[in-house]
Amino acid sequence: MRRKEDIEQMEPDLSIEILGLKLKNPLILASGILGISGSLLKRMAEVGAGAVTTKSTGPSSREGFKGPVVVEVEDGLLNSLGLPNPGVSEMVKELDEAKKGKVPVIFSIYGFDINEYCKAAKIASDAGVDAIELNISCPHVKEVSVEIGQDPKLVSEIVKSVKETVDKPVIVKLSPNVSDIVSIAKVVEESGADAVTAINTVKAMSIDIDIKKPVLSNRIGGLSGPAIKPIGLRCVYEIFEKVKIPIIGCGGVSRWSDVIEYMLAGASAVQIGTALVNEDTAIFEKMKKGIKKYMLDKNIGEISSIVGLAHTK
Amino acid sequence: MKKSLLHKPRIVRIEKVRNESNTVKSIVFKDRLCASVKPGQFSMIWIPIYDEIPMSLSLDPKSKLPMIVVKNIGEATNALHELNIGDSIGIRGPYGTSFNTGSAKRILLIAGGTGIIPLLQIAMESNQREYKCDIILGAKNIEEILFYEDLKSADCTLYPVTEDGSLGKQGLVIDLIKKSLKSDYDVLMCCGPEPMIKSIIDVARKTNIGLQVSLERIMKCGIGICGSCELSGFRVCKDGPVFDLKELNAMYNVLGNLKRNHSGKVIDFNTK
Repeated sequence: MRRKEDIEQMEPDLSIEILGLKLKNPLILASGILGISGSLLKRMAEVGAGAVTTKSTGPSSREGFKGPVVVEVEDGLLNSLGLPNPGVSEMVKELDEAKKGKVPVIFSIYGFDINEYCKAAKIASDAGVDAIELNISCPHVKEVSVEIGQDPKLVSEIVKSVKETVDKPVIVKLSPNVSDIVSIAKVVEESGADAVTAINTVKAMSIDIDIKKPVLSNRIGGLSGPAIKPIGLRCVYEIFEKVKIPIIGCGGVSRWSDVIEYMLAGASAVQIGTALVNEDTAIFEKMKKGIKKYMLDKNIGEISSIVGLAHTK
Repeated sequence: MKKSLLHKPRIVRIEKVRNESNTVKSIVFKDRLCASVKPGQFSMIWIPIYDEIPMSLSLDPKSKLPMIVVKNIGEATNALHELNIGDSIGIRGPYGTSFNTGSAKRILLIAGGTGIIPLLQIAMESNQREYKCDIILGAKNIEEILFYEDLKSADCTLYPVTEDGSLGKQGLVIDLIKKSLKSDYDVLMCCGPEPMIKSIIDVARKTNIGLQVSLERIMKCGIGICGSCELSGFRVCKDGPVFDLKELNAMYNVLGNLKRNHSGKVIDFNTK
């Protein structure tokens, strides 16, 4: 007969520690997915997310673009919501409800310049968020089609200023729409960021051949879903080789095996978003079940022990 | 082989346009997926250049083809009103939950204004189904009563109510319900203004009659991921738009009091 302790030892440990935060599992709800509402963030925690991320919020409110704001493409989803958000002062009112989910709440912020990032970060920090994620994929206001994340100098200044403004852990969500994501990750690390998320959506578009027009009202949007998983995975793998701060993998995480792949590539945790389109809220429990089975099969006690294993010679 | 993309607008040709009132038009089109719409489900309608908006889906009582019924209230609906036979719109869906007639034998449909649209199919199909429907059809005046002739031809008992008494009883839908709700209904199915819905929840709570209600909020993605249509932790697009009494009880305090605007800010329900 097995003793109780032995049985407990056999239960695979999905918990991780990142940014000084304890997560029950490495599955984080990605920014932009349901995070406009505290009640929905709470609900995602209750259905199994290890942490949740708010919708990207700036200092002032934005209505977002007219529809269509999403369109399905082959193996992916294209979106351009246009950063709708009620402004950071309104958004922090959602936090009390979100925290009832009893998992860390990451507050995503965007800005069109350094001051906007700092202003938003300060308000979010004072409201008691667990960490701040900087969305640097928004356009640079002075050069409309250029993403902030494409300008290493600007990114560095933003990270430094935000770090000086707040004493919360700061994550930078990297844009894949750059020629060398690794060099940006290094800049981000050198500027004092506590972690990076790789990757944000990939710039893409879809045209309707009957209407003969782009489907998205903004014409161009961000591609997510299975189509970008190999890109995200490559980015995480390359960043892991050169950067010491933790990496949160993101991009097309759709099933449990994707989580394992990202972690083997070097991700300490992953973000999940588009997978909810097909699997809805059951996705977290489904992934956890798959990961646990894998860990039992491979005799892995702690999930964190596989981080970066794909790199060892 | 190429998979069909469920969440990409399908371009459909408008087969018929019909005036239902001074401000309401039916737009009828052919579409295989929408032809099997369940009552209460909605679609995302793309009006190229203008917008993409959620619209209740139904079946045209005359041609049995899928249709949307559009009240002209804004830029996108105005653009829809300008369309003619042969023009194209994009459509995705049907999406969301539907009214569930289940094993019900006696159903009371309660519609306020355009609220009849998601309920229409239940009434029109009642002659081929196990259930029997009564319908309370409310509006400001006779001009805003929709599908009256179609519903008269259906196998249902109709109780029109108008605020000015120009058709049927004079007063509000809720007055009629409070006065004369029979206890032999298995379920009430309801769509209309939120204050009316709230009063109906109050009534239903005191009875053993089931309640299903179709609700409305600003929707952007329509597929349950953006959160724009959140209502007390429910997504109207995915968990709804049709909710049952248990869910309605959970959102009771928000109903008729609060909503989110396009930015996601929580505002007073009556803000324009």
